[in-house]
Formats: sequence, structure tokens, C-alpha cells
Amino acid sequence: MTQEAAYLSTVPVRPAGGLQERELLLTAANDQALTDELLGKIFHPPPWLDRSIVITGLLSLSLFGAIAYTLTTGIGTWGVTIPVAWGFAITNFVWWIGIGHAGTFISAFLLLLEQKWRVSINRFAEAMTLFALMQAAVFPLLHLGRAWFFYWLVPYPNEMHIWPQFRSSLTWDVAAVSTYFTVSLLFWYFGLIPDLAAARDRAPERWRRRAYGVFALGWSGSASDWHRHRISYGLLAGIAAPLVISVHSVVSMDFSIGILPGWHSTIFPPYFVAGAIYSGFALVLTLLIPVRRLYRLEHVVTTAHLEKMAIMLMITGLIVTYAYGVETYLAWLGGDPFEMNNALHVRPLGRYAFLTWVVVFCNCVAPQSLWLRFVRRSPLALFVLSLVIQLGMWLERFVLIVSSQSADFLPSATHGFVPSAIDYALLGGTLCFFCFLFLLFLRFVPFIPISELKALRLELRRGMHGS
Amino acid sequence: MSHRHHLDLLANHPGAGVDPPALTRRGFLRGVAAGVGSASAFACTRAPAQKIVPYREQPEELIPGRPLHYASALTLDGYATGILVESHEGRPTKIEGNPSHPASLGASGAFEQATLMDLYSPRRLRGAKKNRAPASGAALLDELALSADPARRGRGIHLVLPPTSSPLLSARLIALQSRLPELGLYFHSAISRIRAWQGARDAFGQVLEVRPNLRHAQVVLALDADFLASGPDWLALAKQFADGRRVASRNDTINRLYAVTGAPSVTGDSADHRLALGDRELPAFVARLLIAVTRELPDLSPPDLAQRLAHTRALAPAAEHFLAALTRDLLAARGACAVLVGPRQPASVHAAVHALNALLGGEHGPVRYAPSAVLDAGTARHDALPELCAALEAGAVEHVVVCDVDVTRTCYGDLPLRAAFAKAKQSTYLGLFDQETARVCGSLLPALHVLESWADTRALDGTTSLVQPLIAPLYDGYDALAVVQALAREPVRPSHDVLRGFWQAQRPNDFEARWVGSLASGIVAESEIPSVAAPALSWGFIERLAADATHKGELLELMVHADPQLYDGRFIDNPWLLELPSPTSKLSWGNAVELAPETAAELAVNNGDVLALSANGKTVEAPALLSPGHAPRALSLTLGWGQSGELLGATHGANAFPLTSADSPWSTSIVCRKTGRREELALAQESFELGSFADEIFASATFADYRAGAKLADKLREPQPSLYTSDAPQAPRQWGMAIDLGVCTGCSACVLACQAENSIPTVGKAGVLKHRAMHWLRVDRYVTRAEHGERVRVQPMACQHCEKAPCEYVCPTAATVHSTDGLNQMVYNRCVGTRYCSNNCPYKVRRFNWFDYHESERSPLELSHNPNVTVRERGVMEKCSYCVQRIRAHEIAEKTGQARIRPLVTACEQACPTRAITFGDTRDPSAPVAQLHASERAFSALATLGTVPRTRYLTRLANPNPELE
Repeated sequence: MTQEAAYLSTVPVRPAGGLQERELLLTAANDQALTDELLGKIFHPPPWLDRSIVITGLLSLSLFGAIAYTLTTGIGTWGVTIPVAWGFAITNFVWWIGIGHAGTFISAFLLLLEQKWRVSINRFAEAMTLFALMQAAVFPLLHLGRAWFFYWLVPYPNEMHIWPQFRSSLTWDVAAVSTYFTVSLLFWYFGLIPDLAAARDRAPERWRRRAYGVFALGWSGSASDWHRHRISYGLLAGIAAPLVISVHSVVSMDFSIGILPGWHSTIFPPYFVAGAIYSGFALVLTLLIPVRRLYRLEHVVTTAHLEKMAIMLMITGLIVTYAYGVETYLAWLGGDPFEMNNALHVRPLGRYAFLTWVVVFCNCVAPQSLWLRFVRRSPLALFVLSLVIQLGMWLERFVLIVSSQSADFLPSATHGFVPSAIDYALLGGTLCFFCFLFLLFLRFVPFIPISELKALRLELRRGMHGS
Repeated sequence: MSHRHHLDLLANHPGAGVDPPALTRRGFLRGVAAGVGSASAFACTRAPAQKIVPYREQPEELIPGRPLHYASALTLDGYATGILVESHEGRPTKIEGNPSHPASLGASGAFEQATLMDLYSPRRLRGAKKNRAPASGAALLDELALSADPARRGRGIHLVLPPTSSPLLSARLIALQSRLPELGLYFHSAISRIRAWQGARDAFGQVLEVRPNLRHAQVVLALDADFLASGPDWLALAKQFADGRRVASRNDTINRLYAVTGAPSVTGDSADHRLALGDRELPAFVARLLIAVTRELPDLSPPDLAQRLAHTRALAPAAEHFLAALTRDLLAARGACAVLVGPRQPASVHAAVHALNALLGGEHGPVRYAPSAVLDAGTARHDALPELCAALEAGAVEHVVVCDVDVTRTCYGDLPLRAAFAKAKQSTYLGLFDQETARVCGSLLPALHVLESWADTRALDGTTSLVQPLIAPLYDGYDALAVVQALAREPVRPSHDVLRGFWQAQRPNDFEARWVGSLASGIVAESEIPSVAAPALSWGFIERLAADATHKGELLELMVHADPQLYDGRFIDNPWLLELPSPTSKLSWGNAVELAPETAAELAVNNGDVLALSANGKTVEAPALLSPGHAPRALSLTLGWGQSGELLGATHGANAFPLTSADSPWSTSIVCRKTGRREELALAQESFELGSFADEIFASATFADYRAGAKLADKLREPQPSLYTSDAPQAPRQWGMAIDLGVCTGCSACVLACQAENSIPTVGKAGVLKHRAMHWLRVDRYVTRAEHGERVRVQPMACQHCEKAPCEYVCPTAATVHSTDGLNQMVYNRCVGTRYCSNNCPYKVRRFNWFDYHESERSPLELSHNPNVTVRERGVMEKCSYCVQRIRAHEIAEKTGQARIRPLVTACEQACPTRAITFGDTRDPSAPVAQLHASERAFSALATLGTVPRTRYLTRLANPNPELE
């Protein structure tokens, strides 16, 4: 079976709004029309975009205000305390990092697995990854009591011959996250170069041509350019794919190397990775569905794409549900009184019991609706579900992190966690800042991979004519 | 060449102003060099104008960097506790007990430790004032002298003092009275001992102090007596009691403690058996006990006693059962049992207890008696505020002078003293702080703090101490002696001269050596009042007891108590005490209406519900706090909170004084109403239940089982497998600690000692509510409901210095590491504040600097810091260091061959009244700590985690009466 045929077999041929989806992708008259249409989205942005950028930019100031206040006054401005010394910041960190998985997963894994349908959404997902990682990076730095010494976690030669303490997973974390960010950035940028060149060539204003020209790195579209590009892109995909697995595995070890009941668990790495991809796909859907609608891209991002994503959601959701079950079962099977207390009392019945059950609903129960085909194909249903899952995944991390700390070994040391206004400002601030960056991305960067789409179109045409 | 000159040169350059590029590279660099040079030259000109002098001739004994210790004494309500004060270059930084003083024996309590904070309080009165305007103190003293006209024989002059045992002040007051015979002299304390004195007079015909020695007592009965945490000799009693309870081997014997208390108390928590009885029922219990005991000893008591007490109020069946078993136990231990009663109880109960001790203890029993060291003890002067109030209201007061006692706030609630003060023609207050009395008096004299003054004082047993200043007065200040001198129209001489002159007159022989000796040792030799066995009893108190024992009330009973933190409110400005969790409720920064859970259920009240308590036409609102072990149908509230003004603790808590009355100062019938409002309680501990893993944390056993050879806490003694093998070098000394849970009472003196030694900041009520209190050492309290009353377990909890410390391997910067001598060290400089160490600490003993706490301290509080301990900055973790500064100082002293008198002890160990804490080298077989670690009672908390703590606990041994099990 040829690749084209393989792809075509993944695209269901069904009547949808009078047109066949396979044809939706092919409606543009020719390559130039497709290029013009997709570049037109950034050269002639919709009227709401600039306003939205300004509003989210202003709202992002709450993030920078909260950061400044925290740095000048202290971590005491947050709700964290002893015993709950990690609160919103680490929850947000894990959540944002998790979200950042989908982009690379879609780009790298699906590229290596030659899943062609990824083409329409990969740029988008990669940008989301980068911006999510930028949000995530705020928190581990800011949550340090003395954030100005953050570089002590990095192994660098120094006159005192002091190295980080490598038994601590926090030092692994620094390496894992920074590597992941670097590779994700390169991967995104490499894929972007041909499209930047196209933008350079077609931009209406001089300044745009110059700006795109700088970032296009002199791309000429020659065969040798393409040759090198394909090789390096493939290599980067090869490097990025294992990172998808490793980064959240390392993040999970931030918890699992601890002795805290509820943290001290060997199933965390796969469990965290599945959860990360789960939440990442959910966020891709959250962003994709409105953009698809607002930019009229239904013929590029088809219902078939949404359905693929929905199936990914369902699979990862089932893995996450399984992990919840195994975690609780092992705590009971192990017989350790502290683990049992955490799994069978603190979480389901304790201070955060309500949130625990919300998590179960959002992450385990709600996605079961995806067994129904019409849910998988309904943009509105998927949009709502993606929000539910993101809420569920954020709360999952919150319950895991906070409830385990709030009641661990000595009953005398139990205490809850009440977030402060600054905690909310930081969480809300990163959400706004993420949206701000994302809107800038929509405003200035070709957010659908034009060249890849054209290549795919060509392949499809050949496949159709050939058959 | 000056900078300006150079610029001029540049300006006058032929090309200047015409052709800017003519400023050549060379010219530019020259200008910069000149600028930098002159700037640095000018920056160096800020040398101080004053001439400073180094220690060219170093004062004798003073070696910079090495602290000196001076003996002195602190006085509470007239009774002294000997202290040693650590002084760094003339700056007192730490208070410790004086081992040679009988009321300290080397231990110290929270009040003693915290006195330092009063000394350095930024809110102390700093200058004399008249009608709130600055005035001259000397002029105010002159006014005093003016009003004390001998021709008027002191009529209209009223002087209020706290009870005093000072020989000098007593002599001066007696002299003053002979000069001014109509002078009104009052001794006031909110926690008055007048009822105890009256009880002694009723029983023995004379005022005597009870002087128990519990060292060899086999059975102790505490009737509302919190002898393990309060009272003039509690430090000594706690040690004696603990000595009678310490077990080295299975062949030892231990004492048994019964406690009958209304409100929770440290003594009740430590008791083998406790009975919760309100103040209304306690006299009946005592009467019944007296009947039961005399029934067995008919020849020692009046034959009609049972008849005369026939109408005693009935007790609940459980109380009767308790009483029967207790009686048998007391009689079996006749000659070696002691009955103690608290100062809150009526005189008849005190008298009955004297009778019980006479019957049960006999001539050689643990309880002995001696005349009081307090001036005019037992006289009406100690209970005459109603007369002062009447005189004030009659307008007959020329000048009322109050020294060092907040009398208008701490008098009975039915006495309108505050309003009456306005009717005095003149009023003067001498005190440390701007408390209520200071605000109603026209003239204000700032007092000297005890660490700034010269005085003398006596302990309960009469042992006299000289009070010597550790620091020159921080502000202009006066003492009571100055006031008395002024009233006597004498020139006000320095207290040192007066004191020295007084003692020289007392003991002229070899005076200089004795004076220096007394100052050095902290006690005046041979000043103890010898004790005597009980004098002949008179049974006249029986009718009064019968009346008290039949007393009934329909309404709820409110019992008021001295506060474990603020006492009567005098420590309202003391951050350490305000933040010290109450030993029995873990409440800080306020008081609460404590009540039994059953009573709370009846009233439909929960923790934090604000209750309105009304009595005598006054209403006080305070939040409720459920307290297992509290007497049913009764509420209790501590004194001292709810003050007005600007002091640190003002506006916190509720003021219980308005609900008290002269008729029944300690117990009032009240109407209790829910207000519907709620208030957050600053509790240091949220959950008091040991829950399902009690046996992982705490080990306890009965003494009988232990004697019979039962295995103790095996699970918490076994070594655990570990993946981490250590090849780190080990020093010959390996430090460790042992805490005997059998004698720890939970009094929390250690908590404050640790705070003082390690300069631990306070975080305020908001901080405590967020669970951010910084105490390196806390005392965990667990309550389990047993069939017969509550079982309370206390466990001091600080860094356990785990050999396989979970905090160490998770720190990304190696800021917490192990030393070769077994300390889990915190390297503040290297800490970036990830707080993972705290998350991974199963004991949760690490404390984080959420804010820059020391930065916000107001001057001169920084003077209280221990110079040998780093002040921690914002964003770093801190925790118990086993007082590493003391360990290193000790090692240096050993290395340099200095004859160091002081043994190596940690601050908590040093303060502990019961000597429950032992620190030392676990590798030295002769060290007590090594022996305790090897004891079959030793266990590690959470041992199954494999942390291998260096702090080990000794299994708590209870000694219950088999009849009551």
C-alpha cells in the first residue's frame, strides 16, 4: 500500500455538508491559490485579532505584576505553607509542561509514524507547545525562595567547585525541560523556514518582507535546500520523539523520588506521560476548533482531523483512568499504612475529596462520551469536552501535589492549602500571556504549514489520478 | 588634577563646541579616568568625625566573642526564680535557669525565657509623662514627695504594689508605714494566693506556705493544681515529680499521679488518671475524700466529721468510683503521698487539703510548711482593692500610686476601679508598658526592666537572690524603690547604693566577699526559711467546707484561669509568648472559651463559633474551642487577653476580667449565647488524633506491663533495609538526643528556649493561621478517648537528624548535608529555597522564611539575637541544628584546653524542667544519651520509614491504678 493510499484510507469518505471531506482539502484551485489563501490569513488578519492581542497583552500584566511582587516580597505572598510547601506554582508547572507534550507528539511521533493527517495541525500544536513551555518555565524559577540563585541548579564550573546535587530530581528536571524546550523550538523553527520564505516572497509591505526575510535564513527553495531541510527535520523529529517521553517522566520523578505517600510511586512516568498527551490534545482541540471556525479553515482542518484527535483523547483518557485504578490498587495491595491512608482516605474522603471526584468525572467519566461517533465529530462537543479535560488535568495535579502534602505521616503536621490572590494572578496571568503569545503567532506566523500541505495535496492528487 | 579642571581642559580644547568628533578616543579616555579617580576619591571621605577607642585596656573578664553568664532572679507575684543570663559584650541574649537556685534547679520556663523580649520591646515606655505630655521623671518624683506630707500622716496616699518578698523593699515599706501610718498600702495580683494563705490560717492558725517535696512521693493527687506548669516552685516540683517517675530498669518503681481538674492543664495531661470536675463540684469531691480518709483513720479526726459534711453535693457515679479507688491508693501509700491544691480553690478546700496531708502524709510526709517570704502574706492588704475603690469614689484620695501592676484592668469585674481612678486628685503609674492603668493615671513613670535594675527578692522557700543589671537602662527608668524613697521624702539614691547599704547593715561581717559571692552565685547564703512539719490542725474549717460543698448552680459555670502565655496579661507585648502555642490547646495569639465536646454538642457549638458570655450585667464575646477532658457543664476562659491600646497583643482574644467578681473571682455562673459569628483560631496543630498509625509514631505502655517484661515498641526499634550504604567518613563523636516521653509534660519551656537560643522570628497571628510559625521545636499533642477519660500524649518534635535523611537527597543544591559527626546540617548560604526538603521530611520540622522576618523587626529587638547564630534571610529553609553553635564552642574550648565549667547541653535540654531531654555523644558508652539510646524503652518515631533518626524517644510509661483500668 502506498503512503497516499494509506492516508486516503484514514480519511473517511462520507457526505458532510454536501461535500466529501477528501475534496475539502482539494478545493483550492492550485498551489498558488492555497498559498495565497493561507498567507492571506496573516497578511490580512481578521479585525478582532488586533483588539484581542491588546486585551490579552494588558491582562498579561497581571502575570508580570504578580512576578514582581513575589520577587520583591517573598514566597509568603502565596498560599503555600508547611506542610504544603508546593502549591499552585508546581501544579501550574506540571500542567503547562503536560500541555506542551501534544505539539511535539503530533509533530515528531506522528511524522515518524507517517501519519499524514498531522500536517494540518502540527505547526499549530508546536507553537502551543513552545508557549506552554514558556508559561511552565516561569513557575519553577519563581517558586524558589531565592529565585536569583536559580543557576545553582545548573552544573557549571565555578570557583567553589560546588556542583548541583545530582541525586535530586530537581536537577534532572532542569536538564529535561531545557532540552525539551530547545529541541521543540528548533523543530518548530525548522518546519517554519519554507513558509517564512513564502511569506517573504509574497508579503505586501516592505517591512514584512524584510522581517520574514531575516527569519527565512536565505531559503531559496532549491532542491539542495529541500534535501538538507528534510534530513535535518527528520533528525530533529528523531531527537524530539524520545524527549516527549523523557520530559514528563522526569517531571513525574520530582514526585516519585520523594517518600511522601501519594508521591512515592513507580507508575508515575508512564502515567504522567499519558496524562500529558491527554491534556495536550485537549488544548490543541480547545485552540483549533475556534481558529478553524474563525479563519474558515474547515477544508484544511477537517472533521476527520477532529475525529482523529478525539480518538487520541479517548485512548489517553483510558490510559489515565487505568493509571488511577492501578495507583489506588497498588496502595491497597502494598499494605503500607501511610500509602493506604493517602489512597483510601485522604484523597477520596479527605479535605480535597470533592476535587478528587471532580477529577474522576472530568478525566475518566466525561471522555467516555467519545465512544459515540457524533460526539467525536461535533466541534462544539469536542470543544466543551476539551475544556472539561483541561480542568480535570489541572485538578489532578493539584490533588496529587497538595493533598499528599497536606496529610502525610504525623497527624500533628496536617494542614490545608488556601491559594492567595497572587496564586490566582499567576495562574490567570500565564493563561492570558499564553493567549497573547498565541494570538501574536496567529497574527505574524504562517500557522498552517503551507509547504507541507501543498506537498500533501500533490501526493493526494497523484494518488487519486493514479487510482 | 581635579575632575572639573579636566573638563575645563576638554572644554577649552581648540575644537570644543565646533567639532564634536574632535573629542578623540584618547581625550575621552582621559576624561573618564579623571572622573572615576575623583569620584572614588570623594567616596572615601566619610570617615566618622568622632574618635572611637578600641579595647586597649580590655575590661576584666571580657573576651570579645565569648559570652559571660551572670546570675540574677526574676520575680512573679513576689516569688523569685533564679536565672543565669548570657551576655555578649554587655548585651543580654539568653536567659537560663540558675542550677543553684532552689526554684529553678537549672531549668527555666517560658516566662523566664521570654523576659528578654520585654526588655527589648520597641513599645516600652521611654520617658516620663504628665497628662500624656513629656515631663521630667525627677519632677514627678518630687510631686510624689510633695504629696506625702508626714504632717498628714499619709492620709489620702494610696500605694499599690505587686506582692513583694524583697527584703529591702519590705524594710522600706515598713519604715514608710511608720512614717505615714495612714498610708493605704495594697498588694495586688490577679493570680492572688490569698485563698491558699487563708486556708493555712484556717487549718493551722497561721499563714504558712506549702512546701512539698515530691521526690519520694508515691501517690500525688493534684486538685486543680497545675504544679507541673505553674506556681512559684513549679520548676522544682516538676523535677522532683519526674525524678520519681524516671525509670532506668525494670526493677524501678514509679509514682502515680491523679489529677482532678476542670479545664485542661499540663498536670491533667500528665496524670495517670484524671477526673474532670468543675469548680462547683470540686469542694464536694474534697469533702467526700476527707470523709472517706477519716473513716479509715478515725482516731486522727473529729468523730462527727461525716455528719458535719453530710449535705455534701452528690457526685456522678464515675467520680465516686474514682474517689473510692483513689482513697484506697492514698491510704496504701500513707506517709508517701501528697495532695496539692491550686490557688483558685476556696480557703475551705485548702484547709481540707492541709488536713488530708496531715492525715495521709504524717510528720515525715512529702508536704512540709514554712512561713511565707511575701510581705504581709495572708493579710487583708492582699485583697483590699474594694477599699481602695471605695476611697477613690468617696473622693478621699489625694494621690494614688501604682507600681508595676496593671491594677484597673486586673481587678474583679464588679469593681469600677477604672472609673474611680478619675476621682483621685493625683495618680501616678510606674510600669514598663502603656497598659490600661497607665492610661488612667495622670503621671507616668517608665519602669526599669528587671535586667536593668538592682534589687533583691526571695523564692518560695525564702532563698534570697540579688537582682543585678545586665545592661545599662535602655531608656530613662525608675523602680519601686525610687517611688518609696520619694514618698519617704528621701533623696532618690541609686538602687545599687541603697541595696548594698541595706545588705551591709544586715551582714556586716566579711561583707565584700559575701556580696560578691551572692552576686556570683545568684543566692544569698543561708537565707532559706526552714520548713516544719504540719502544726496541729484545727478542724474549724469543716462548716465552711460543708457550705462550699453543697453549693449548686443552675446556670453554666465559667472558670477563669491564669493564661499559660500571658499569665494575667502582663506579657501582652511579648511576641514569643503571644506565639507560643498553649500546651493544652495549641492555641496562640488569643484565648478561647474552652468546653467539653459533650457540652458543645448540647449547646450546638463548634470550634470557632463566637459565644457571648454574660454575667454580672457584663458580656464578653469569645470563640469556642472544644477541649476533650474538660469538665462538663462548664466553660473556661483564660485571663489576660482582650486588652486595649497599642501593645503587640492588644485586641487579640477576649478579656475575662469583667466576668469575675469579688464574691467568686474564679468561677462565675454565666448565660451563654451563640452570636452566629465565627472567628478563626490560631491553632498550631489542627488534628489531635493519632489515628490509624499511632503505633508508627508513639510508643506507650503501662508500668506494670513493663515490669512484667513486656516487649516495648519492637516495630519502632528494628533496623530497616536500605539501598543507601554510607561510606562517608565518621568522626569519633556522633551526636544524638533522647527524649523521655515518660516524664515530658508538654509544658513547652523547651520551645521558647529554642526560640531564644536560635533567634527564631515570630510570624504573627496571620502567619500562625497559615501554619507558618517558625518554631524549630514543637510539642505535638495527641488525645485519645479512653474508657476512663482522655489519654493525652505529648511528643516534642524537632529535626530528628536522620542518619538516612530524606531531606538530603532531594535538595538540588546540596544545601542540607550530613556532617561527619552525625548532624543533619542546613547550609543557609547554599539554599535556594525549593522547599523539597520540607516536603520530603516525614516529621515536618523544617521551617521556611516566607518573608524577610528579621528585616521587619523594630529596633532594638535585634539586640536579642544570639551572635553565634546566623540570621536567616528570606527564602531559605531552617530547622533544629542540635544547637550546633554550642557543640562547636564546646569543641573549641576542649581543643584549646580551656577549663569550661559549663557542660555541653542544647537549649531545650537546658530549659527542660523534668530533664526529659538528653543530648550527647552516642558513641561514648559513659554518656547518658548512649545509655538511653541502648535502653529497651528507646524507639524512633516513624522508624519503619528507615530514616534512622538520631533523636530517639523513650516509651511513655503510665502507671494506672488497676482498679480504675
